[in-house]
Amino acid sequence: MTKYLVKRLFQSLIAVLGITIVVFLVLNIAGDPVTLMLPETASFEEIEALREKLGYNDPILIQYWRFLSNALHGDFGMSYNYNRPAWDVVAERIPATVTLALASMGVVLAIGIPAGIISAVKRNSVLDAVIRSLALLGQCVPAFWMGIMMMLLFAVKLKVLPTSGFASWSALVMPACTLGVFSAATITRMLRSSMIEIMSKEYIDVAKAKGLYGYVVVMKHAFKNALSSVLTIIGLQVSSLLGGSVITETVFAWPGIGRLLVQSINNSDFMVVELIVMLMAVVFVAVNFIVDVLYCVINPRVRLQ
Amino acid sequence: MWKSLKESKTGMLGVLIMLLVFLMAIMAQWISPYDPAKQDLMNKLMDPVFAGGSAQHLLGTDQLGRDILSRLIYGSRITILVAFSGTIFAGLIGVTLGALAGYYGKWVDALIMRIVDIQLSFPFVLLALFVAAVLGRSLRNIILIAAISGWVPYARLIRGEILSVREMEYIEAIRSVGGKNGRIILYHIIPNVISPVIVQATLGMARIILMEASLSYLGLGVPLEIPTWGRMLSEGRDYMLTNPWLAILPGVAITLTVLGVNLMGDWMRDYLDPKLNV
Repeated sequence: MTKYLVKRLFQSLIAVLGITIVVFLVLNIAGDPVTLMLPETASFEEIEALREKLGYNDPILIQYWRFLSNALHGDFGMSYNYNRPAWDVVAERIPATVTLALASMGVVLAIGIPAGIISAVKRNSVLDAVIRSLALLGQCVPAFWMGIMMMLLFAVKLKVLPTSGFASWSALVMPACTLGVFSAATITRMLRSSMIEIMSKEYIDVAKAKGLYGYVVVMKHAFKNALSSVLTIIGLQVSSLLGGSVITETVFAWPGIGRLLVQSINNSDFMVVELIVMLMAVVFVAVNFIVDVLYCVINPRVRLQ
Repeated sequence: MWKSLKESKTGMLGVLIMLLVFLMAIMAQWISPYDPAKQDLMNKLMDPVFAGGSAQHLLGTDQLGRDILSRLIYGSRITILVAFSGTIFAGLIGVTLGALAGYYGKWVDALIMRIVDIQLSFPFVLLALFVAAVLGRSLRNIILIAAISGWVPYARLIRGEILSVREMEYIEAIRSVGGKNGRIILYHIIPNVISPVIVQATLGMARIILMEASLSYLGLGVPLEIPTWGRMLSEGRDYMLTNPWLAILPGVAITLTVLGVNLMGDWMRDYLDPKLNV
């Protein structure tokens, strides 16, 4: 198992390195940051002088090496828009995004897991049909539209929740649900099919034949075995939560890094864009590494190999 | 195929929805009642006819007096165009790279699979946003984004299938009569593994439609003068309090289309691959 984990860690590091290369290259293609720093009236000589001073005339490998070593020292350049280090600008937005992501992960698990289990156990019942339809719908509705519809209903018509902002806990409800709906639907569908497959196995028949209560069979024998596939899906859903936070935060004016990303794109504040993209990708790689470690812990077959 | 479609109610619904959207996109200039860009400030912000508006504008008008129905019909063009061409390009890239990786193995495989790893570590929307921000707004770029953010599942699928087919006797037989690698891949391997690719393509299309709508909503989609459902939604958001229909209708259009694609995909999966049917 240690060998597997070391190999997996190595793969993650390669992925992170690859991410830095892609981000660096794409931003290099994007154009010249120097022209953005100087006023439009700047002469060719002035532009060239600044390029030379900031090292944009060096060979690309040297530029990449400098970019990487600066990043490892925690230096991600300056935000043109805020005139402060990009890291500071991003760091103060992180708590809001983490709060939102955790809350919506809570929503995803609280809805997805029971719905998936019930739907599998009561297969082909009316309840199953309802859950399946809702789950399908949840995968079809664009998140931003659902957010707006929830605002219309709960904030404008019923006036029970605030429309946007970060002022109170009740402000978290709608963004968390909006962000979580796609993942909750995905987990419901996946868990249902994996539970149905497991429930048809012989050891489930044995457990039933022993006279165990239905819920013991479902929870201890079936769900425990479905857990490893659920865990994998959760790891993958982190991607949709991170990506979705960009849209959800914009819809609800949530002061997290997703909204900052959109604002920075519109302001051509590339240092901040670069940092956020790298940060989200690295978090995603890290989460999937942790998922694989947990996978070993809960699944003895993997552990013993 | 037709028999299986007739038996599946949801599959039929999906195909009908897609057919409708497709026809809408093709015949936009003949069926839309108004020019989608024509402004009529005298008749701005009218409600749809079922909410007390006039029959002149069936689904009402927006803040500039443009006819919503016409804009929805024209908007379907972008949705269909991006969804189809994005899916085709993603499929071509994915199938080619997957076939190369699976058939040649060794360092080709290692290299392509590392690219897959890196690609998978970018959340989909994030990659799309990043590329949109860097390359700028244009229809071509949106299709490009759809392709480069969507090729991985095809590559993995094809690679896996090829690995299991590669050592089979019939491939050995073709090789022994002098079949070239390119010919083996194109004529003898890909036809054998194409049905899961088609299923993946329909599911991938749903994702591309949602992506295009999200990018349009964020103002990073196609250029501003082209009507798209995502942009209509984001404009409608500003009039949410007074004219909620402006935001409701484009959302319904997006949801229905994605639903249609998904239902069609589910049916195709059952039809093409009965093994998967749980």
